[in-house]
Amino acid sequence: MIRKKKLDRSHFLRLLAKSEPVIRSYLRALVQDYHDHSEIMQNTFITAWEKFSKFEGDENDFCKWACVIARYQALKHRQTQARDKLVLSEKVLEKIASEGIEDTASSQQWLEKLEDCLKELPEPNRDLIKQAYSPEKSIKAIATERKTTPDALYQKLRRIRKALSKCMDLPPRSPKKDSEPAYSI
Amino acid sequence: MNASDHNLIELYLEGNLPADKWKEFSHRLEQSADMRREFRKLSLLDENLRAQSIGFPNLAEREQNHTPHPILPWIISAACMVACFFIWEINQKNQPLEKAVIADTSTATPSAPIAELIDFYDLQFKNTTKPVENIRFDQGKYEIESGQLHLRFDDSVELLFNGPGSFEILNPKLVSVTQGNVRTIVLNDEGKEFTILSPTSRYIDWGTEFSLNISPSGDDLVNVHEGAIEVQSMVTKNMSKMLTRFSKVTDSPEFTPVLVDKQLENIMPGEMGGNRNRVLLDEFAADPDVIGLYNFEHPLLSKDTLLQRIPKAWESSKGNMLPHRWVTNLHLTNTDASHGIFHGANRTNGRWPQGVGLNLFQKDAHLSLDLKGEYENFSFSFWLKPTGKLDNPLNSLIRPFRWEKMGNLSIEVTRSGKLKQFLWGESHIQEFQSSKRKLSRDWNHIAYTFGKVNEKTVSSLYLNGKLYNRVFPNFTDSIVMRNVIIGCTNNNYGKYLNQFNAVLDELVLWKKTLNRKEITKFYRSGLPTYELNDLTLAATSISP
Repeated sequence: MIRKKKLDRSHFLRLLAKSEPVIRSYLRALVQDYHDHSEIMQNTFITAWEKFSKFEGDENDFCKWACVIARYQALKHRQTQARDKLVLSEKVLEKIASEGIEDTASSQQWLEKLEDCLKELPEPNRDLIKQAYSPEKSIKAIATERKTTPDALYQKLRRIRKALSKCMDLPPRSPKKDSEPAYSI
Repeated sequence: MNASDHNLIELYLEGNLPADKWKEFSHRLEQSADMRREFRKLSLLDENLRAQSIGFPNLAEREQNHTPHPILPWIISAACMVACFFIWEINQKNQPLEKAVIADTSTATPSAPIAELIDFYDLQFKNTTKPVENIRFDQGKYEIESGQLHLRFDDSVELLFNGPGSFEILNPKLVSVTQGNVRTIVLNDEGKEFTILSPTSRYIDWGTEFSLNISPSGDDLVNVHEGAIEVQSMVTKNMSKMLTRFSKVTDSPEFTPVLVDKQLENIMPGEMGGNRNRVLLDEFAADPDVIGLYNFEHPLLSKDTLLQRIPKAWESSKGNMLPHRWVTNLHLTNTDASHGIFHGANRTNGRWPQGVGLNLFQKDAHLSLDLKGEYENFSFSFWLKPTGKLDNPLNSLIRPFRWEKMGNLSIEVTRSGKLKQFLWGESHIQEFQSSKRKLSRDWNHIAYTFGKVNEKTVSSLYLNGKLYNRVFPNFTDSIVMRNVIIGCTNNNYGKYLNQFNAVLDELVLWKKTLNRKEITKFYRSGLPTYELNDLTLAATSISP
């Protein structure tokens, strides 16, 4: 009995490790606040682990199954937030959540492509992204360091993200064209 | 999707969406499937940029970590390099200790090994048949097929290992474990920073006690019982997280496959002796010479079954006897001895972790048993831990309800803690009972034997595996122990006197005469190995 539980854990962790970025991203669309996002992520994983004995399916099924749990957690969270904060309407969240579950394949593709896109990003832009997303410094502090304004920095980041977003939609490139950047900023 | 929609999404994800734009944003999202798709994509992008910047492994790393072939050798190489780096780093920190180890191994004179063997149970090493006591636990790899091992490092850290699995002692403060269940206890400040390396993480002990299960797949389970440990990822070396006993299952570090499991409770010091003892109790339960076996656990038998073997003294109260007052005779095939019933007592911690003993704490506290026969050969043994003062000149430890006939036996403890035996009608035996040894305040093993040796009847008492005193009765040829009371006496008018406050554990009754060798074996059965090293085996001659 104990042995089986350990195997389940191991299996669960493997599936989770593979699906986590998709689940994380899926939740990001449903929860704006980072702290709430982390909390809901954890609740999702705990619930998933608790219900894991009932799960039957493969890797893709797991991702969808976990997203269903995440959706429930996010909508539950929204109900507690709705009175105090600006939140998206339940109807919109429902739509995004449902489409996200139906389309986990796209999320997987985007994630795979994102790796390539980031590699092709010019070094200074990659550094900027890394700095901007690091929790150690605020945008304001980075802007001061770089002798620019926060607004200008936000603009720059938006351009980088837009370029990355475009790149993520591109079909996989043939190896011959590797030296040419797929996009420019 | 137009640029304005894209801009709204960007502002939302940045957390900069103005309050007056929320309605518009929500409306646009509701209307446009394209915008929702873009929103999901940008959310994914945003989340993964954030995750990567704070050190979450990217998708490629995840794939590497979970694809066993063909890049496994590369991962192992990389992990080895990282491990080597950590080992080097820790060795640098612990240089004086490292030097001491080198000095130890280079000198020809025998020196203390890095780890001291404290205890073991049912231990099988993979590559050696050497007796465990002869193994030096120095730097090196140890592969365990099965069993448990208890090591102590530098008198400051206890490491308890439960196989199957393998570990490598790298230095006095660093042990690498590839598989197995571990419990680590830091005993003092010297032991702080004791580190366990698993294939994926390292666990730095900051003065605490924790259980850790490491499986070959690289998934670790951890539970901190006291203090705090630091979990560091071997892959993303900058990631670290402190876990305490207050950490919840939700506090599992996200950067490494470590799960906090609050149920995890690996072996404790002393349990290995407990395991040996359990095996012995199982042997007793099947031994036809055993007539009574009591370990004081809560009774599992039904009330009807228990009532079939109720002690005589309690027969009149059997209708309203509460279930918790029963002590089951675990030897279920032999009906010579009844189940027990206690009064003025309760269950408390026994000799072993999670074991149960009977706490005779009230003035008239006692345990009642009923033995049917008259035994020409008879023995009993039990463990006893005194908890109160010995107020009377003689304090009854065990005696029959009525002191009335030949063959009645009583064991008394003097005010100073010495043991005395009495046999009805054998007053002369008092002259032959002298011993300097007394009961200690810790657990004492008391054994009594009666029977003929070389045609002569001998009645002997043993304390902690050694003969305490022996007498030669003139008239008694069998022991009669009907309606036995353990823990006090009575004044023949039904009033219980002479309190003896103590905790009892593992009471065994035999219808045979135990010899010294057997008594020594039973005494040793549950002791930790390091206590055994100080003992010399008693004489093996067959004499009670």
